[in-house]
Amino acid sequence: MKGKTKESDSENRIIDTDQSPTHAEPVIHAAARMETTTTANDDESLDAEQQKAFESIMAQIEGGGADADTEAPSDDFSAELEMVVNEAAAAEAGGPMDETGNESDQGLDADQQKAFENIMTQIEGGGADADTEPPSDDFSAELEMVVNEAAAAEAGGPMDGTGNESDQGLDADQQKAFESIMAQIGAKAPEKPSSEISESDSTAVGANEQENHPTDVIRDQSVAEAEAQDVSDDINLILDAITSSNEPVSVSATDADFPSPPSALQSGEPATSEENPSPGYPTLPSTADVNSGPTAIKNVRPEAETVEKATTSVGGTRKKAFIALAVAIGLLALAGYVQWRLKNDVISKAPLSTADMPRPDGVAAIPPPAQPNGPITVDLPPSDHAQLKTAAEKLHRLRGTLLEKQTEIQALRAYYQAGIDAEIAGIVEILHKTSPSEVAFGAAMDHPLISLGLSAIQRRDNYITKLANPLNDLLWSSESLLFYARKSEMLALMVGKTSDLDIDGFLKQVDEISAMHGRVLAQLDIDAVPSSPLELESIWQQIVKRLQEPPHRGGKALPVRSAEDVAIWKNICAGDFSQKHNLTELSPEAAGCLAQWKGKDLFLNALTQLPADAARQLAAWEGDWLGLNGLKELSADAAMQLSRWKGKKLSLNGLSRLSPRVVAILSEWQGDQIELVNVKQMAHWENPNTRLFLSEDLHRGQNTTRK
Amino acid sequence: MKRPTIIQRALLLTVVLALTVLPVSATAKAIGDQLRRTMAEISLLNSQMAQRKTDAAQTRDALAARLEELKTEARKTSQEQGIKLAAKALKNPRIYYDLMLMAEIQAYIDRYTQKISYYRIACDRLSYLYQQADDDLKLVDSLSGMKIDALIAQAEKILDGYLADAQTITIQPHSLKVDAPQNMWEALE
Repeated sequence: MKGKTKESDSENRIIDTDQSPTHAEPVIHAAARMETTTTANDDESLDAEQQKAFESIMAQIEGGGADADTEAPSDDFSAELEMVVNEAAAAEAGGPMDETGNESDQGLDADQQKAFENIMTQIEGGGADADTEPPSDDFSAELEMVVNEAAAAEAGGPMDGTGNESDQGLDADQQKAFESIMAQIGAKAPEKPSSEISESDSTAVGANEQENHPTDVIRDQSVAEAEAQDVSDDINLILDAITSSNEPVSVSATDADFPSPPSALQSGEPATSEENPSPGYPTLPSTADVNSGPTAIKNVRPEAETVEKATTSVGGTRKKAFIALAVAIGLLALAGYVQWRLKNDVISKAPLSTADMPRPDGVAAIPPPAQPNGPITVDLPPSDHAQLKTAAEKLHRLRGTLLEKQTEIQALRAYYQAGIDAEIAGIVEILHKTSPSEVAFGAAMDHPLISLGLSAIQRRDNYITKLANPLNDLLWSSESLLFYARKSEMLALMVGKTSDLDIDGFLKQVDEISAMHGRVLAQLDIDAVPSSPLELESIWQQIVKRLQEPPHRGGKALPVRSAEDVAIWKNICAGDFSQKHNLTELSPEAAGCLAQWKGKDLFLNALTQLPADAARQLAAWEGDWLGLNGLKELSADAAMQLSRWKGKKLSLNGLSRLSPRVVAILSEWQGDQIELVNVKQMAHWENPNTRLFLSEDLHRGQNTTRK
Repeated sequence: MKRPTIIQRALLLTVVLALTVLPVSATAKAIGDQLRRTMAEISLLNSQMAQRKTDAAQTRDALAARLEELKTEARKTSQEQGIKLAAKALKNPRIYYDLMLMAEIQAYIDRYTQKISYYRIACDRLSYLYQQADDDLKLVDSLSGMKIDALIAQAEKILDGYLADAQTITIQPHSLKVDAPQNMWEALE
């Protein structure tokens, strides 16, 4: 094993792919190696013959080298050749070469000589073209011819009397080597990838190796018969070198005899140098560099195969071990998984302990299979829930649109009503300034302002009447939409955990309702509303009736109708304020007494009327919160007096309508907040410092108007 | 004789280990396993029914809160507008629609109340069944030849009966009894 390794190493080092440009160099090295090998093997007669052949080769080389067309070998190479020759001469001088020299020229040596001559001829012929032509089939044919000649010589019978056993052995080896060469050429082994070669080498058994790969023959012989390495190996090497003569190969016999060129060592040594005992040689970067060319592959193969085989054998063992380990781990994991599953099944199927048993009363003692609770619970179906939410939002939006239109119509009605009030006030003013004779309807109609005023009142009253219908429709529509929106939210509340709710049907109904109310909104029209306008005379009669009533604006006190109120007034003026909230009417005197009340709150919610004089007295109260929520109407004069009150909060939640003038007057109040939650229509509030509490609809309408 | 390779040894070792962890005999405990499976199914269904009962109670509470809001709004509206008669109340759109929605919500509340009772009874029955299966399982573990076919059949019948209601609460709106707004107004007062 050790000898084999050493030989492999020595052979590894002889590889040169780039630095030896001529094809003659391998021949020289092989010849020299042959000589040294035969010397070492004590075959003197062969040594002599080989020496002779070697000299012949050298002569050929010296002659051919000068003629070669190739690039001139370097001086180093010549020197190396000379060195080889000198060494050969020294070896020759050390042994009796001359004595057996003649005998070696006869018999077997003649065949060899003939083969060598053919080879030399090839060298000479190929030397000129070596650089330009790759190894061709002609060359193989010539090799075949050499083989045939050797076979013919062998077929001539055993060697003559001068031949000895070693001579016969040489022939057999030679023949075997030639056959191997031919088999290799025939199989076009050089084209075979190195990996395949390695694999085939590592897997093939027996004689097939020799037939397919002559280099294996060399390797096997060197392993099995290391000491019997003979000339046939050298011939083999020579022939190998010749077959790859298109690219120069440096061949050396041993490290001791033929030190290889450093360049060859650097480039030809395989990277797998872990078995290389010689530390003096640098290792190659990688095997791929060595196998960069066909010749390199061919020449490296014996060594590379050896190393690859070793590597492959080691790697193969490791690979098998890894595979076996992986399979074992996988199966163990599978077995563990099976065991784990079985264990879990048993645990899950195990009965609950008695302590975990559900109690008869039920709810809290339910066995805890907590795992299924989460995933099994049906989550909110987002589609239905989202659809219901979307439907509710859609309904709210549509309702908002209806409310806006509703507010708009109410504002119109309030505007018309305010116009009617203004017309009536104007007519009354005119009547107060004119003679009573004009009180008759006919005479009044002769007055242009009165007649036009009456016509305006009639027209506006008609508008107000006509607007009542669409307003009522809008009110019901908006409330209907609110109902469906609330129902949609209610269903959204249930749909997550309840099935069979007819969501689709409801959504379809919502769509229909929305479309219907949308049409209502688009078809608001008062022209089609039947109406019967008031007669002008009827309007005039109402004005006359108002004209006959005592005017409120004069600040005169209303007549006291209730003895109870009188009693309360007396008590108040006497300092008893306990019954003040029961007052239904308020005289200016009582209001003056009430203004002495030291409390912070004064609620007179039973009051339904507030004269201006009473309001002026009441405005002197120094409290914070005045409540007059029983008032249904508020005159401008009374509002003027109240606006001078210095309190903070004023509640007038009984008022449902305020004229723009009253609004403007109340806007001048400097308190903190005023409550008018029942006012349906109101002009713009001008005072931003006072918080205004209005109804939800009115507040929304005012915000919309601001936008 | 050729020595076994590493792979063969590893495979042999693995097979031996795998065989050691496999169950010894599945058929010997078939009855017990069947009973355990049934108990597991009962337990699972019981938890689902309990969850549905909780869902129904939560939904009912939410609806009840909504109902109270509507009642408050209807009362406030009627008071503000001085509505005391049903005829006048039904002419007010806000009160009218409030009453209609209140009637529907009340119907759903009643149905959820029924469902809660149904799920409570189901949980009680399933708990009883589980207890019975557990008792039988103890006998199966101790004795041989225990007949559990009747119990299994009974359990499957009950499970099948409750299975449809285990995943979700089922309420069909057309089967609800919704009161008229007039009745709701009277109840409101």
